Amino acid sequence: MSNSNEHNELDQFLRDKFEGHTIEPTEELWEGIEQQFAPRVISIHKYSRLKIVLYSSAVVIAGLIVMLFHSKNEKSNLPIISNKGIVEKLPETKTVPSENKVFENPVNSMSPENLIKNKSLAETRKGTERISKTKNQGNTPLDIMENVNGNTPYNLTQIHSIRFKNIGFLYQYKPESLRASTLPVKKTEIREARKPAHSNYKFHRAVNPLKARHISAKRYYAQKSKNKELIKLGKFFDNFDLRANVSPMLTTRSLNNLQNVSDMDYDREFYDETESNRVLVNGGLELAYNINPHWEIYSGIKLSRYAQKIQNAQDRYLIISSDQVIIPSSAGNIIVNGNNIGQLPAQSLFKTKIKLQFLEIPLIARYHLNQNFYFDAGLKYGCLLADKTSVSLNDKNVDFSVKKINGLKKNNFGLVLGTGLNHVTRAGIRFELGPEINLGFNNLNPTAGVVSKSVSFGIRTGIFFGKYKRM
Amino acid sequence: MFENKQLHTIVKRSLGGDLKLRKVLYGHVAPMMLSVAYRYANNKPDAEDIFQESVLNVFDRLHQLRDAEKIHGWAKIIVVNEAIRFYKKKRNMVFTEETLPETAKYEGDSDIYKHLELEQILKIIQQLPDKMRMVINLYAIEGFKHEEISGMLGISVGTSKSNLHDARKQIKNFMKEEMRKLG
Repeated sequence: MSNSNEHNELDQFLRDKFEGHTIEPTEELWEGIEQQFAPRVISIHKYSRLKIVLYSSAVVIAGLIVMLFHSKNEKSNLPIISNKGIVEKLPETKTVPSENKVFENPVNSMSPENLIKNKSLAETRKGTERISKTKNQGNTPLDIMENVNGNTPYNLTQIHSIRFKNIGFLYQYKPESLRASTLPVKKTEIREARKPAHSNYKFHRAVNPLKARHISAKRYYAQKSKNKELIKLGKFFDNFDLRANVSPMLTTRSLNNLQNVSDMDYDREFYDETESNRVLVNGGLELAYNINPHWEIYSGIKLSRYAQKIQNAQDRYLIISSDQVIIPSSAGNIIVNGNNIGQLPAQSLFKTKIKLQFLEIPLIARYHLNQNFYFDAGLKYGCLLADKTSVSLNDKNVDFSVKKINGLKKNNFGLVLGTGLNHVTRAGIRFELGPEINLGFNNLNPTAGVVSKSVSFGIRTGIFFGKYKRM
Repeated sequence: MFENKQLHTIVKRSLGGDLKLRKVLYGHVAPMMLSVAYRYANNKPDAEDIFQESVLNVFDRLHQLRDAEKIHGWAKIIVVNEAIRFYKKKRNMVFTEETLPETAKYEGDSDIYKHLELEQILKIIQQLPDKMRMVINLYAIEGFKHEEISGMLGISVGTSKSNLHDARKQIKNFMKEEMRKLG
């Protein structure tokens, strides 16, 4: 019989013998266990993890409450829906100033030229009256602007021309008084006025006080869709903001399932004693789309780093053989090979620096509470770009080489939560500042039994490209 | 033995901290757990330490149990992990590629161990050095592969194979010796 068969037979024999084998425990064993069922003291580390979760939850809950409160207050500014339709704030009907109502008196002379002039003046009066009755009942942004700006003799002049055309004359009448008050409308003003009110209400002009009046629901929604068209056809990119982001972040990790660690007799205390966290600066570019006055969604590209310093004295690494030792780290174990590396003197100390670089793509929703305050919540995807792990030994004369066991996990998904303040300087520079926390979903550690997820928190700063002004 | 529904209720109420039902659940899984602990330990006090710690782990992590039916397999893994952790902590175990001296070479006789009782086999396994005992238990009895064992113990696949080979030789030699004693 071959050795292999004998081995299989022995293995099978052992498996069969112990299959279903039980040993009845004594009553004392249960008593010992029962005594330990008393509530265990939560360790400092568990507490700090708990604290992170609690603080994050508190920020989110507080944000939701304020949002709810804010939206209640805001209801008074929104259209009122009634059985009759929707009551919307519309521009006050313009009254033509008296100076514009002054027209030249008809000429009494009955010469053909005077007859024409008199007729034209009569037409002009009719036209003006009609305008004062009908004009400005529309609520396009241009109409609103015209109402806000007051008189628009520019339009009156146009009407004159039309009326004259109707009766077959090309004579254009423009009273002196009107000519004097005619001011050219600036293109920028038209653009501002055409801009839908919600495009970025925080930093653009507001529409002046308006009066409420009933309009039909059909007209209300037609108006809304018209605004959307304006965004698409006209100034679609006005709703985008581009900003650079620079964030100093403290990188750390959450450790779980350490009771499953079987490769070494190291536990959470071991990792916490040997590893220390580091502050690194992350940064990138973000493009935000303003959905409405309160909500925006942004994405971008960001270089994010995760780093740790590890110090292992002799009782803090595993000696595999005289030429190989393993340095355990929460971001994967590190194998160190070298002649007699396993027989170093007691004062030997390994210093390890782990630097992981991720290219991150976030997708985050932002809620603007008002001009100044915002909340962020969203997801991110990180792709591992580089693992720059280096090991040094206090004895410079020892040569060794370093490699990581199995490498690291390439992908890292995570949750991003944050809040902050917006500010626009007088020079038109807009920036934002606030705390942010990133919680990784994926286990970075390839060692079986250890679950190590990245956690980083710090201050997020952002500076916007382009000029802004406050309302 | 309990029906699935009963077992589910027992697990659920044990999670809630019901001491009586915890004891019932303990009675259900403890004999198997103690048997596994004895296989991985080389003496009674160690086996009982591993067992007690494993039982506490079972109750601590009961919320992670998805299917109450599979509590035996789940609890077994906890004991195995606890045993490995225990021995790593207690002794600075270093797994090497060293094999037994040539004098300890096994002389083939596949029938001898079939006459042995389970208690005698358990005693033989307990006599093995720690590293060999771990590997033979994980490979031959639990059914893990060398790649998995190397991950669990933090050793190379070659070391795992070498330890298994030595453990088998040792077991067979012990068995032979035991048979000789029995006459």
